[in-house]
Amino acid sequence: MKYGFFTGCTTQTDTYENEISARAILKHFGIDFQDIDDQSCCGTPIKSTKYEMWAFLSARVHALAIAQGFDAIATVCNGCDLALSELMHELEHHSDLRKKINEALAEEGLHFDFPLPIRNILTILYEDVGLEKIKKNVKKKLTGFKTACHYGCHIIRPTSFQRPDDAENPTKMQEILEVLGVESPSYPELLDCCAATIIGVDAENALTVSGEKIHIIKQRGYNSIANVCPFCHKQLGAGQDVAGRVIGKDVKLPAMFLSQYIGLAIGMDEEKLGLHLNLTGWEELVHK
Amino acid sequence: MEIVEFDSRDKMIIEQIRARYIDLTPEDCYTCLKCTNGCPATKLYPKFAPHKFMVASIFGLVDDILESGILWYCFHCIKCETRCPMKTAPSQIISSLANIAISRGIAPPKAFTGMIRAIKEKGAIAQPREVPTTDFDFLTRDDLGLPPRGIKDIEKFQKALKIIGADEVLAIKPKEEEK
Repeated sequence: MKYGFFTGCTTQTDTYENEISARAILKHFGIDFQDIDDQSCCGTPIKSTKYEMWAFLSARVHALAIAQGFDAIATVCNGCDLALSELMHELEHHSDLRKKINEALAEEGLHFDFPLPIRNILTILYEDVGLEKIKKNVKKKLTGFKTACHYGCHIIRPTSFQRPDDAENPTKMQEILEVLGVESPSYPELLDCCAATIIGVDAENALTVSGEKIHIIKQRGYNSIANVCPFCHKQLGAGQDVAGRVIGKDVKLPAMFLSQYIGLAIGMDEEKLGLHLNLTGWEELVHK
Repeated sequence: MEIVEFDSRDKMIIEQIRARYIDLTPEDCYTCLKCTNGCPATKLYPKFAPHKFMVASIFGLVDDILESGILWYCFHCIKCETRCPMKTAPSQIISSLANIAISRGIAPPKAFTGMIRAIKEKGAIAQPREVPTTDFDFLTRDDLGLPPRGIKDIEKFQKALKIIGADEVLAIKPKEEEK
């Protein structure tokens, strides 16, 4: 299966470490992927303003990937994964919208007939690579890590169509981390939202929600956080300093992407995993 | 409390919601409040109550909700949808109602028009930024060896966005500017 690699806005403009580590890990495990050329936003951030624009932007990614000969689209962001997956579901009985989208796509010589399968990096790691293969590649077990997973809402919900993991009891991230030697028990706040979606409307409350989540994770005795979504990571990782100031509590805690945990365990160079762009203070935990 | 004439209700609102998401059925809501009780936005904003938006849609009395701007505080975490015993998908209905507000000329928060403008200019919601490193350097995509991004033929892309109606959202003036 040849994957078209889709980065999405947050990863391509801000959370470069997500892109760097995802590329490194997919390459290491021999996943056949190449960038989707000329890619734009998936549509998720503006869905509530103009539904047709969301559908057009999402269809544009599918149309580009189809025209460039890919079999499926690989995503590294929960929001992108949801938009691109939801489009298939929505357009099934929506012939007017399909017509309008194709009218707009025709301006760029594109056409949308059928959607491609959407595979999140979590799905690719869990199903295409598999726990056994990851386990065989581990060179240095990540002992001493007690990591709180944060799946992010859009990778597990809604339940009306297929999502990468279960809405009530997701386990795939934890299963992967445990293969690496990381201790990753569940916790009551596991499914709580990071509030990234309201950061543009009410930053103070958005950071209060994320800050309180990190705070409770610390109180429960975890020494690190694992993310798969760059938007969540901005809240629970890169945004820690500001969130701590907003709620007046110490919420500094190493937060890394799942692919960075895997990379460390299979002995990859820290810089090749983009860890030098991570300012959450991971060094002490990783180097001990 | 102000009394609202029942005849003043918007009888078409459910059809308008369904025009965007075909399989939505707000009329199935029997106000069990599972959505609101599990809603993270309700904890912060007491006026944000998904079940009220559902009931208002059924009755066709949504004008105040659309004008108030409260819908923009939805986290879109979709918890309400998984909790709903009648599968009514409140988060989708909230998104649809926000769409209806915009189609009536009610401006969204600035962050949203900003993102649409950025998509129109570069294809993404933000400009690529220089990121700090643990050694106090600042690096760009190029420095990190990542391939360039951006739309090749931006004029054609903008024409497509115009057809789809992006400019209509950008043309809405926020209330303060009208005064």
